[in-house]
Amino acid sequence: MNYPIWDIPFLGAGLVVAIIAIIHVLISHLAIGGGAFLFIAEVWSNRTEHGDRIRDWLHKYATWFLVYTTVFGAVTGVGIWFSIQLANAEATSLLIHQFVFAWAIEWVAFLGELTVLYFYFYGWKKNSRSLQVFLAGAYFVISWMSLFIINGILSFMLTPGDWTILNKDIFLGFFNPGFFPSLLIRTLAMFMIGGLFGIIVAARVTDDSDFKERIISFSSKWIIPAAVAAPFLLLWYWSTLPENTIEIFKSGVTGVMGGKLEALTRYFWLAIIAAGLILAGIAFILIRPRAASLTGAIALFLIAQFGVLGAEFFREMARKPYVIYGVLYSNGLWQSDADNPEYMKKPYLDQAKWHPDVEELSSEHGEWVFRLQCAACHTRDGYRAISTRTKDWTGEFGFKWLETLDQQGVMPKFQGSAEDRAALSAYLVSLHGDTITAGDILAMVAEAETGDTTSVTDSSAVMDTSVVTGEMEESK
Amino acid sequence: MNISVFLTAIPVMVMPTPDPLGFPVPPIILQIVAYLTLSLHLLAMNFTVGAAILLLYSKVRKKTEYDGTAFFLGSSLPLGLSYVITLGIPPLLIVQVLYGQMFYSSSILVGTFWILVIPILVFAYAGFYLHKFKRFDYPKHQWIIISLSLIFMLYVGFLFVNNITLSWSPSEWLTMYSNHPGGGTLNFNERSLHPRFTLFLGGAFAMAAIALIWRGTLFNRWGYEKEGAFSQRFGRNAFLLSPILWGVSAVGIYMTRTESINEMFAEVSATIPLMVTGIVGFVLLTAGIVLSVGRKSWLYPIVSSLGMLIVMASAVVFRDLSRIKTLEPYFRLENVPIEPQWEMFIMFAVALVLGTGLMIFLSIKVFPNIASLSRERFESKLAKN
Repeated sequence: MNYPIWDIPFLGAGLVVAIIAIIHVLISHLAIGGGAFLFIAEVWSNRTEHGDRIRDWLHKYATWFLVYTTVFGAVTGVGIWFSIQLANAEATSLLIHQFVFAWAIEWVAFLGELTVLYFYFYGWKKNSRSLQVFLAGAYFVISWMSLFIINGILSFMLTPGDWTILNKDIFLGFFNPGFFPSLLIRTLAMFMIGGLFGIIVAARVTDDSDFKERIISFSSKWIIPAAVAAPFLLLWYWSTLPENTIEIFKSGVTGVMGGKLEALTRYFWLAIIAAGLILAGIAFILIRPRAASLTGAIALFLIAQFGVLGAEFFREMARKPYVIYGVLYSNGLWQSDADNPEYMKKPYLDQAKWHPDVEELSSEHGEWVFRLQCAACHTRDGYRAISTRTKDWTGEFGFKWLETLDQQGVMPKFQGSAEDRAALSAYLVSLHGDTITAGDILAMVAEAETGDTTSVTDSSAVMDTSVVTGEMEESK
Repeated sequence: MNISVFLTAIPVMVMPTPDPLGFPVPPIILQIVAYLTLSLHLLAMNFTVGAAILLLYSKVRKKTEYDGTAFFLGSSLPLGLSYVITLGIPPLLIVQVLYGQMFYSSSILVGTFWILVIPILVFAYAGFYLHKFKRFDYPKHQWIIISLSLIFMLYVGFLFVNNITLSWSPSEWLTMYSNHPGGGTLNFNERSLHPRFTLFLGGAFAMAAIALIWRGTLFNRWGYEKEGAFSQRFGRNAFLLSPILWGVSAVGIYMTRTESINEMFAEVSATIPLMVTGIVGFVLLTAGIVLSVGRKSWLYPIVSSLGMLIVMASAVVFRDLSRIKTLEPYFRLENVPIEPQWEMFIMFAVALVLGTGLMIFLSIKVFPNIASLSRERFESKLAKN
């Protein structure tokens, strides 16, 4: 364990990342799709007799767009960096070192798009029509370039393809199997969100129903590319996912005490249903523009936010138990170390750096093993609470179960000695009042192994026949 | 265990190992990019904080002669903060490449306060936009909005100083983490914390002053000498606070210097020329601002801006040299292997040149339009009065 773990109570570091990312992703998609919208609307306004009226409305769009995307979009974008450092410094370091110049190019694009947007907005009354069209077009192209770059890094985390820590081939990593389908899906989603934002701004027009109908109709058409192409792109994207992800999607994951955890599947369907509702809602508005209301448009936007939530959680959970698939586990354990049985059996706190001196087998021993090995993903009693997941555990059961931790499909191997496992198990059961010590657990296990029939034997049997093989009936 | 041996061993024990991917280019290249962009980031930050303070002062004075400068400063705040954030990205990227193991560790140690930077920055930014778009609708409440945004900005600045100085202090880490694994603490053991923060505040007045000098010169050239001279005088008077704060800060930094800083002065040949360069920059800055009042020549704002850039760049390089020296017992840049990514670096350089070229081209096209709009607005206000 190279870095400390940000052991934030109740929320957990992962949820902090998720909250910021979910807000950011919707805005960043709007920031690009809205750019395309401004460009096409500028061209449209130059070719129609109501051009001035459209430009007046477009100025309102641009004002909201500017404030929303710069205040919330830019800051939450930096916020993702802040939060991923705290949640997983090891992975962030790897991504930064591998893709530093990709990120630097993205920064150039970001600086460019921001500056062009300011020129477009602040020069509104004085810039020539052709200059405004150029600025809107340049804004879209530059901002889409930033998507192109960040998409390479994001998709790399789930499908690194032929990239390895040894070849360090940036192009193999960047143009990974998930790159193009992901890029195209995001681009279509951006057009849809840009149009949806147009409907919201248009719904505020109250003085001219014919004009309102025209711009709502114009805005609604931005769903058409997504409606036509999304299913095919989704299939393409699906084909690039790791086998383990597909398996978890199909059959869920066997829980700690049995039962099926199907979070991945639920988040997938949340994203799909949200997308479907938005498509249906905007299609309805397209057919009957007069039916559009501000409340309805905002409701669709909120549904889009839920869709992003589903998609982002799916993307994050699809990587489980890795943060960079096949390379680095979510808790900072490298795959190369996990493949080394000798390394994995060494006393954990001898390997981990960030802990004070603690007495072996003490409660503090278990707490520090939990903090450094589990708290990257689990809180004690909040998000992904470990206390509820282990509420039916006995100390001996936990001791045995931890040995087979990785066989669930969504957890890494346990790293450490038998003493570490006993200390952790004792700590976990202490969270719901059990006072068994790590020393007691080791003694009971030793006793069980000598042939006596105890509860340890029972829990071992549960491990061998049910949890490990993943065949336990759905008891939860 | 002997306690002194234990304490000595702590920093070595918790210092993370550098990333296995190594550096993508020799560190000096990244350092140069970081020096340039961090200087620009700090200048933007100084401007935004200074502009907010002077705007608040204008509101408190309640005199109509401040209306023009207050409008200018209030309009500039969202733009200023926008570039603070944007120009802060490259140094934040590069610090992770060069000093990632220190920076990540310290960020996690103060994690709860550190992540609060994000919502607080959103509030500060939203406050500046609220002022810009609603200042005439709710004039009585503007000072509250500006004050809050200013306090938020100062909080963010303080957090950055706190985190960065903590990243240079590995001896503090394990105790802090053992006591506060949730990151609910800050490093107040750093003796140079307050002088560093004062140093930054001094720059705030200087940068806001430079912006007012530019505005004053433009108005003088348009023939509105009264408004132009007022803007320049306001800037000059505000600037006088900068040397005072910098002087206080310099004394504080000198008093709190560590042994490694003394060693740096003795061993690193660049320190004295760097200080001389900074003093030359300060002279240019002062001359440009003080002599500008009532003048139309662009020379004065250009000289003062150049002087400020030199002062800031000198301080940024000096700061990095201090960090390198302070971290020497634990980490040396030259010990990290280089895994070259030259093709990517060249792509970045090309993108930077093209992007800068595009922005310059568009500036030439658009700035005259924006300036002309400002002039019309000013003339319209004059006509109304």
